[in-house]
Amino acid sequence: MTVEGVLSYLVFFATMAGIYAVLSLGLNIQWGYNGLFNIGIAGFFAVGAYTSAILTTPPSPTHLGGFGLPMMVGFLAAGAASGLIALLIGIPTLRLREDYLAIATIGIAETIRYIFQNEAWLAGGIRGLAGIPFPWRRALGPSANFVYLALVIAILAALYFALERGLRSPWGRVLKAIREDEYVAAASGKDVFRFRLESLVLGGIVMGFAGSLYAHFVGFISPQAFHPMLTTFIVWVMLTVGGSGNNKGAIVGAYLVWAIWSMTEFVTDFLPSAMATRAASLRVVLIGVLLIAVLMYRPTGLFGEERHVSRLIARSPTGGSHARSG
Amino acid sequence: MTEVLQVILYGLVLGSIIVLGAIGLTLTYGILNFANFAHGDMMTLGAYFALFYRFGLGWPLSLSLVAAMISGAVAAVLIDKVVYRPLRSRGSITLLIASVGVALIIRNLIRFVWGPDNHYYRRGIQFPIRWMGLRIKPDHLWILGVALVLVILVHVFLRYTKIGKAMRAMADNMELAMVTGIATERIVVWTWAIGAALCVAAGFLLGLDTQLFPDMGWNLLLPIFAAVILGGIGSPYGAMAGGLIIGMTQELSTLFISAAYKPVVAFVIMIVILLVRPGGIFRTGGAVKL
Amino acid sequence: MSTLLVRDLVAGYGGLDILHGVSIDVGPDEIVTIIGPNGAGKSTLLKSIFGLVPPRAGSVTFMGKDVTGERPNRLVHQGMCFVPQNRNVFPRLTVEENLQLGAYILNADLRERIARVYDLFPPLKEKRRQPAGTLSGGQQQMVAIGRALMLDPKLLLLDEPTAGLSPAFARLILEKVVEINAAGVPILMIEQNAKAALAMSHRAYILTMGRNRMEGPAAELLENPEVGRLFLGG
Repeated sequence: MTVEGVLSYLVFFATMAGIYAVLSLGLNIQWGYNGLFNIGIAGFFAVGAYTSAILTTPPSPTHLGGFGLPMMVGFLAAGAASGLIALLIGIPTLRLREDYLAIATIGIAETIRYIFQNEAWLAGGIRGLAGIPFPWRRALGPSANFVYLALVIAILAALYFALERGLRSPWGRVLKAIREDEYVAAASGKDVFRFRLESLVLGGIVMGFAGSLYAHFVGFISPQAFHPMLTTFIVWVMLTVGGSGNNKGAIVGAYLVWAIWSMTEFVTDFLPSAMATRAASLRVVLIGVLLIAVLMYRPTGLFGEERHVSRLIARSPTGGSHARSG
Repeated sequence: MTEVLQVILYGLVLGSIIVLGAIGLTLTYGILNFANFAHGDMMTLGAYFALFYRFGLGWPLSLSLVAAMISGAVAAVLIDKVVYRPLRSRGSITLLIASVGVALIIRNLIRFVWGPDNHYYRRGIQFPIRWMGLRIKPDHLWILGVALVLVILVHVFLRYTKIGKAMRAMADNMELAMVTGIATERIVVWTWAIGAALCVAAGFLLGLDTQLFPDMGWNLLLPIFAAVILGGIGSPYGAMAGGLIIGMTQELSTLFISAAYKPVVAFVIMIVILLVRPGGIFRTGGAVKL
Repeated sequence: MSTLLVRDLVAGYGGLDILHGVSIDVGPDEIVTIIGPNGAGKSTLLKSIFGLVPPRAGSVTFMGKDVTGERPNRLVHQGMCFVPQNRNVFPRLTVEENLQLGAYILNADLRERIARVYDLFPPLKEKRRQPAGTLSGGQQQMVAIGRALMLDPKLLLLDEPTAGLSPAFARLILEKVVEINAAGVPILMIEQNAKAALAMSHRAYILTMGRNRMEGPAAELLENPEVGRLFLGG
């Protein structure tokens, strides 16, 4: 491998990890700060990617749109579309038990995947959508990926600072209070449902942004890329490893887990091709083991959580909603 | 009309597979209070266990099923011991996340050992029996028969044995079960074993109906959850009814919309139930806590 | 010898102590009632005796044996039975199954014991095949108490047995408590209906803020003007 080869790989790596870090931040808004159990990340990610792709690709006879709009429009619309989906899911499910939300979100993610897979008129079906533009790619030539990386980092940084501000504000403290004990929060006059909805939608918007960034980076998307377990699951591992409730942890976790994931790919690449496909599944096993190991031995992740909430609101040890007695 | 009857037959077949999956899921959900996302992959694992006994060891198919059920039960108890039990005090959501990890581990180990391709229990085409205009595959009769026998066994077990009653009691009200002096940890082991054995049977029958592939169980997980929620979490009898309803509705929907959307149909029913009767359609009151 | 002897019990949830050293006795054949305002730690005391909330200090002695912090299922084996205040039946199990589970730890023919419960609470007999969750609140309370009686307990702990019941049902349940006690079962009970409870008890303790405030024969406390003013609503 040449120096340029290594460098270009590192740029690729940092960009992909950055996109996942955006997803991880989105999940942190929902789960880390508000305790919303979303395991439909892949669905929000896909909606963002497809929205952006349909709006920005040149007109096509085989599927919807191809509106040739600027990438910026695609990016914003991706967030909006994904946020809208979050709103639609949230309204019926956020009053229910947290595990019902989990089942509902995975259901929605699967539904979205089935739709993109089966409705060829919409987005090319299983053949997917190609030719998603990155406007300056041709002009920039070999340095295009550098520029894209800079763009991803800039967006990641902007999101990070915006979220840090937001989550340290009174609004953010209410979110955490709800996660700690929704009854106490409700008793102090907070509209728990509205705050939850806001956190779900905001997280959805951020995930939609990530989808757009992904689509324009790889230039081609298909339902295959949004298999729920892989996209959703790895983000969960990232946030758990980094430390949920901590934006820094969400980003570092994303880079770290993506590094582990990529390194295992190197290892399997050395194997003869007959074994390589099978060994690839061992990579996923490793990630699964990592998740369980973190849950068992370091449940707060690498960074743990920054405390903004009074310690008096102690979490009940079983996590359930037991009746407290006096 | 014949077409509808044919579809109803398919609905019964799919429904009985979902029923077997749903009984185990509802029991662990009710008793341990967590949604086990590895349940679908346990189904897959069971199906592949049976494949191993059938072709690896050359045992007859029926014996392979029984052996696979036992192996699945042992595997589930071991997984509980290694993964879930140490995390149990940390709440249902931690367990749920862990089960997602277990799901991926199981599925990818299967992919590693058996590869991504389809496998079959039987070679060659089965000629359907013609009866009143219906095409009935002999395998379908097997599926219905095995499912019926197992459901009856489950019923007898839950109604008339001490362990069965304790299981239902724990699914109903865990704290009271502890107050009553039930040795809850022992019953938990039984619950995993029986739930997994039924789930393995479901995977086997699914493989018999179609084919074995690493995602087979995962694809059925949403309909199984739909059945559990429809019947009320922790209620094995609700799960039986819920499973039949979901299976039947999924197949009947193919008369109107693309078969590719069968899983979506289950999901839509589930959302409607969550909105209208979150305690399930047979709720007897008091069983559901929020 | 006292059936139950609690000394200086400290217990609580999370980082918070609710009981700050409570001591009580229950003698054989006694009905002992604990009264006190909300938040006094009455429920916590019962749960802590029964091992549902681990004690942090102090001791619990039952039938002469130290059982401090024993798990509930061990205590059940020794004859201590507990009727929680809420969610105290198995709603999807039939009435009869609820009763059978009360004697889960026995490997014996339960028919005679079940018949005794039906004698005590006749309405349960006709409903015995119904899921307990479909019964009225008062009948569910009968199932709950009946369940606890299935083991012939040597001590019965009742957490607000009349909570949420109509006055008629509340009176009926309290009458049954006296009847159970007359058959030789010592009872330790929390009751928010303090007057009625004192009227039927042998002795009583008044708890405030997690500490013993007063104790004595129930009749005396009932007559005590200070008790009347502070705890019996005038």
